[in-house]
Amino acid sequence: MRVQPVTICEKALILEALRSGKRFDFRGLEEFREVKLVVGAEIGTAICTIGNTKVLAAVSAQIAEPSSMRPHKGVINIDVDLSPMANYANEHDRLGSRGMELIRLLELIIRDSRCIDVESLCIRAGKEIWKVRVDVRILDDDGSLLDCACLAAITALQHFKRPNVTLEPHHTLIYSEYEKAPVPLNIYHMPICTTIGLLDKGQMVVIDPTDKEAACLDGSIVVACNKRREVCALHQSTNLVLSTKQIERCVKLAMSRAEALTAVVSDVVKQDQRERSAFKRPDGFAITAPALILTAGTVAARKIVAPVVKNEPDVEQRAMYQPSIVLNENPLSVGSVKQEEVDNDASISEQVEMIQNSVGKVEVTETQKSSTISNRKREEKEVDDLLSGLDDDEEEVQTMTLGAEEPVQDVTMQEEEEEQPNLLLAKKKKKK
Amino acid sequence: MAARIREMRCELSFLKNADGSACFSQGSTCVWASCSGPGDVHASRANEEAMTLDISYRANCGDNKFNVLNNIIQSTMSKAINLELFPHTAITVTIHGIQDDGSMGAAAINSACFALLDNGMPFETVFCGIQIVRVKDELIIDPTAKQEAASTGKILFAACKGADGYPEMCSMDAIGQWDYIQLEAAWSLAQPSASAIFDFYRTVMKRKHSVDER
Repeated sequence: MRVQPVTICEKALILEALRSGKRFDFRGLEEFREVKLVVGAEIGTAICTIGNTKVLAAVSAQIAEPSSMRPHKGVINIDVDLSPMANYANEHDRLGSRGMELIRLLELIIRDSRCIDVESLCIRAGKEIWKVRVDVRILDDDGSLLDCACLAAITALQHFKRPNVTLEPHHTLIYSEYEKAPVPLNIYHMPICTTIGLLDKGQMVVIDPTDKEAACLDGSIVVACNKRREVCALHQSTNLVLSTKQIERCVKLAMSRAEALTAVVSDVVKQDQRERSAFKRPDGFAITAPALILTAGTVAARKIVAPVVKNEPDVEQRAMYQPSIVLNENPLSVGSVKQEEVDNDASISEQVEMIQNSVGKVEVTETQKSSTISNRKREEKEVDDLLSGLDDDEEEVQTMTLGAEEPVQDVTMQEEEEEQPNLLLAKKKKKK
Repeated sequence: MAARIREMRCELSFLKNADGSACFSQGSTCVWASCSGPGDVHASRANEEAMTLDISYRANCGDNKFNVLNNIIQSTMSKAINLELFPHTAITVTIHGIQDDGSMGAAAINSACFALLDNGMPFETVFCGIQIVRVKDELIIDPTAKQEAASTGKILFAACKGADGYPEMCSMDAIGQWDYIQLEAAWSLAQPSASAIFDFYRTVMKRKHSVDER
């Protein structure tokens, strides 16, 4: 399904608000949205939310053969799934340009920044290595997708533990988690992404833009850095020309963000480890997801009583009467009156009057045409027919009045024709 | 017979972009489902007689192009919804298995139904999923991952509410050797739990559509 673009007036409104330093979610221009992180019961899973953006990352590992070029290095694969859950414009199993960009950037940030020690993933040089796979599932998309995906992936990698192995002369033994404690990955540093929106050729920065804001902005710059104040990746989405000063400012903003978020990630992972080491079975997403990520605590606190619905039959009756109201509102009726309010006789007499009026109007048109029968007599006959019809059925009245309507329309048509020369004259006058 | 379904929790309409969404958890199995539509469909997949169903169950790891659950959910859903009401359109249902602790199939079907209910689709009948495994000639309903791993047979029922209010079997997926008597026993075990799940649907939807009195 296609997504509707942001309308021009909406865009203008958002831009106007941004230029005066205001945002629709009551944030300042240099204020981030709230970040929530939850790790799952299964090892190596994490959900991260930034505002409405929600991303799940799951890490898994399997033993594979290394490439001949790097015989003693493990492999890290990153896969992104941009499902219709995130945005209904997406399709199942099909990465759009956005998904491709996301994969490339995540590879750049996680794999190419060398934050994970791949040498330690080697079991037997040239024969067996660990292949670590990071599956990033975008669940909801509201801007800063890369920040959220990166944070989820890093948390999941921190949370992940691969099975322990021992080497025997001719084979490798893989232990389950009950036999030997699994081994966490060696992670040197945590790259944290920050999306910074740019406005007015980079003169203004809008931090952590939402989906709608991002559509109005000129472009954005993504800075990935770690808490050691190192820049791991820098990516600019559009071809704006930025000065060094502007980029330095963005990097400075990202640095402080990275420090804060690194603390959050290690807190969450440590808390989980403490619970696990105390043999407490973690609930993971089952309980925490509704409580932490979703609209917090809607289930528990409120006591809700359903209102009593009374007037359903009334609604139906009104629906039944509706056509009759339409009948009264036809252009012929003089002062529309609701059918229910008038008693039957009055309405019929009114209708008769109405028809007689309309017949009187018809006369004008009929006299213009040459007819053999005298018009007056024929009309009287018609009226009599109509009157006899009225007693039987309402519906017939409806059709008859409609029939009488047509000649009147003819009259108006003629009037228009008469008016046309006038209009032409007027136009000519204007031309003169 | 161990007839006990784990605690169920549900949260509706929490995703921003999807038309209908549900977070459903059964014990510590947790599933997120979303549904969008009826909306426009690519000409190559359009059906001039009925709505096109695009259903995908997505596990946490690996490629998710094909999944066993897609078929059973699709066949159940095409019975539960009158697809002929919306020709030339498509509805997209995505189910993410967030956390797997057994009876994922049942949770996926339930969450799909919740997402559709949340979207306000006109139903012919609501549906639910019940998973039953056999461990040493004993039937266990709503198994955990451990029980599932130890099982010798596995059945996934998709039940829908019949005209008389009792659950009717809509579709079924059985793995392992089952004889007729066992199958019948499994269904008789599934029936009361299906009614329990339908009651849960009702309470959740009542809560969603009620107005806070304060």
